[in-house]
Amino acid sequence: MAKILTYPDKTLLQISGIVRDFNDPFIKETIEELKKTIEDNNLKGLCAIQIGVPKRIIVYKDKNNEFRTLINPGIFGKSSNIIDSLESDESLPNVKLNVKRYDKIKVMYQDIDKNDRFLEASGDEAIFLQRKIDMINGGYLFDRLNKKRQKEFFKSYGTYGDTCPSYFIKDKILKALRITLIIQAILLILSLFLNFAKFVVNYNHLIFGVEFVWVIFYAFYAKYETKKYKNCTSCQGANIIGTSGIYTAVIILLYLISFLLR
Amino acid sequence: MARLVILGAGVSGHTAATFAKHWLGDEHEVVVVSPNSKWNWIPSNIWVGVGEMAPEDVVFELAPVYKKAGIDFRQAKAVSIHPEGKQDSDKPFVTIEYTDPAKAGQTEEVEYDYLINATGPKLNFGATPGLGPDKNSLSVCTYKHAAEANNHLQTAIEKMKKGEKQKFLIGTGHGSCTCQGAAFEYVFNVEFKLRKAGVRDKAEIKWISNEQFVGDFGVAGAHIKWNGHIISSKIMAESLFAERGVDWITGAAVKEVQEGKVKYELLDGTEGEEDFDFAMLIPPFSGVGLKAYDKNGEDITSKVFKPNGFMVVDADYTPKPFEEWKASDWPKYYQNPDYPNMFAVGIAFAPPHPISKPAKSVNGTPITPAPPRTGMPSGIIGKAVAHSIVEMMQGKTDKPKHHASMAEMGAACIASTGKSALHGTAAALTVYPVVPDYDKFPGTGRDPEYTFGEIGLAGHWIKHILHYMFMWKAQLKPGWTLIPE
Ligand SMILES: Cc1cc2nc3c(=O)[nH]c(=O)nc-3n(C[C@H](O)[C@H](O)[C@H](O)COP(=O)(O)OP(=O)(O)OC[C@H]3O[C@@H](n4cnc5c(N)ncnc54)[C@H](O)[C@@H]3O)c2cc1C
Repeated sequence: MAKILTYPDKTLLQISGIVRDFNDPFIKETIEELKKTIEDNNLKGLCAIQIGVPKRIIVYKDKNNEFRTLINPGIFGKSSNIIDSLESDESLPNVKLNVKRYDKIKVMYQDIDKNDRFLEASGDEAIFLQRKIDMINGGYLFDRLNKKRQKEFFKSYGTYGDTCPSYFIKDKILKALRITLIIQAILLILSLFLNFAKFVVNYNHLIFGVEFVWVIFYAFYAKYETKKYKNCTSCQGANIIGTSGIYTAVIILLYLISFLLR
Repeated sequence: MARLVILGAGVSGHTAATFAKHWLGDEHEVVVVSPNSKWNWIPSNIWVGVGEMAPEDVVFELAPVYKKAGIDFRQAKAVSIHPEGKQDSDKPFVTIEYTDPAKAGQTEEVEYDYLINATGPKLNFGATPGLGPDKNSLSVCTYKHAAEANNHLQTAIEKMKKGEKQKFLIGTGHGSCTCQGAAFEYVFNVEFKLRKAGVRDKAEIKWISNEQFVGDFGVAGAHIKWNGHIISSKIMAESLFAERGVDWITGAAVKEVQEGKVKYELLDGTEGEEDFDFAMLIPPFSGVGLKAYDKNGEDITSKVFKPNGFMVVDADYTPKPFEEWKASDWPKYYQNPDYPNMFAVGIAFAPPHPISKPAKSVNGTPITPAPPRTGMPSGIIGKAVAHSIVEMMQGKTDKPKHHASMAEMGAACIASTGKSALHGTAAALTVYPVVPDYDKFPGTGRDPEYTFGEIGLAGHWIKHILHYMFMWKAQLKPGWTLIPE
């Protein structure tokens, strides 16, 4: 019996590959392993990625309690009816989430002999297949929640492995800089009418210097802080450089304006 | 002095022509043959189609740009290629027919030393009875089609304001279409526009496509950042359809478009019908129908072109089952094997096979997206081929040196899902490589680490900035060579 991987195991976050070579003995072995694991754990079914094999294979017990194997399945049709479904999954233990599903679907897949097959599913079977087909495409149950509910979910459940944590000091550094720049811009406008605001113009070299060093500090700190998160978009070098570039441009612009107002 | 002739002034041809002239200077000649007087930034046609941009915003006159660059522009369409010359001359040439109003209908033989075929697609509306703006459905593939689609959209909005319900059907009009991305952008831009107009509740919107699953886009799915991890575009697309209340049908080959009704066949062989008040259906693409003749005037079209009209290049065209497809099947230099001074770039070259897993309905109807060759790969290929030819013309080499296989390059597609400065959104989809390399990346054939975007307002801004950037670049304004493809 294989071990069922659970959240936040990194392997589960992969997109499974299409099965191309049907003669590969490993495919048959994986299917047997899945069947055994399903029996031993008394489950409805599993997909290969749940036992660590990134291939598009789903094995489950149908209405007649017989094993069905779907290779490279895809949903090509569905009813227009969307239902609320309260779901749990072996790979997300102790979690029950309400997600939206189609009540009927049409699936195209291949059998073990590489023949194209079609299947119409409804009720529990349709819901089960939608969840598993999501998984072979890299999607978890929580990917089906709206942004607000996702936030709540991550708060109570914690974030997972090698992905974006919800808290970064680099974001705070940037936020402080943003607020400073906004205040500076407001003061620049006010300086046209009010004497007290004139200091933003008088000390423009100093302010410019501080802000510029701030951006450089941000870039280095961000790189240091995010080194370990490969999957996180805001952590990638290009993003950090881009963000720093935009802020530098804004700082230069404000500097030029205050230079002209002087 | 040698002469490079480029057929077609679209994304790939224009890129090739402008870079070739830039590198060659006055020592050699660059001639461009293209039937339209205007250049069109096609991706922004989507916004013309929903009235967010005027047709003039997405085009410019080519003649002044080419004049300034020193490129000889002939507003004409190529009719035939004679790669061996004719009986009394060994010099290869193309026959062209002028569309320039001043010379309309006149034909001419244009000799060449090197030829680039960049004629793009023929919008093959004829493949499906009733398809196309001359018949029962609309298109956004040209700026004129897009402007017409917008007129119909505005009429529909007026009707809805008066309380009438309208049904919108948007997607692909044949089982072998490509360019699902454009239709995908259009369906969400229409939805966004209807919301903005306050008539969304009066509209039923449906997506119909030949993809095997939503989010396939003809490339077996792209990758996108979603909740801090990478998922297939399938999940992004499904969620977007659900969130925006757009219903969908996939695995569908549209068989016929009647007035207000579409008939289609599904992968499982079942047939269906869908009524509509407004239908925008992308046509399948084929080659533009160029002919080829040998020295004796014998027709060699079938040697130079594949039956779909696209030009044969250095690809491996041996028919193979899906599991034997390899990255190395795809062309590297885009050179014709029989006539090495002839190249094809962008949509004009014949791909060896699709990218998505092929499928047929149980009745045998192929329902598989043709491989897309979007703007970015088309531009990159155009530039690489121009680079090779320039070096060959300058006598630096006798073989092309610059390769640009679609199995070696990534593509980023920013799909607009609504145009507005504050509430607009776009999804950034990435794939590397465009053509899966199953040997290098076992599994999906793609590098999952290569991804940069997600969906949001920033994506919209990038898309909008790209519009100005590419219009700037194409007009050869200062710094144009620095803007990437
Ligand atoms: C609505 C829409 C939206 C799109 N959006 C995007 C997007 O967001 N991102 C992206 O990357 N791609 C997008 N694409 C795809 C992109 O436009 C194409 O990939 C690209 O234009 C292909 O370049 P090409 O040079 O091969 O062909 P084209 O750009 O079509 O150019 C072909 C040229 O050949 C000329 N021609 C035709 N027949 C002849 C002849 N007989 N002789 C001489 N010349 C001839 C044509 O007039 C034209 O100038 C979109 C496409 C459409 C239709």
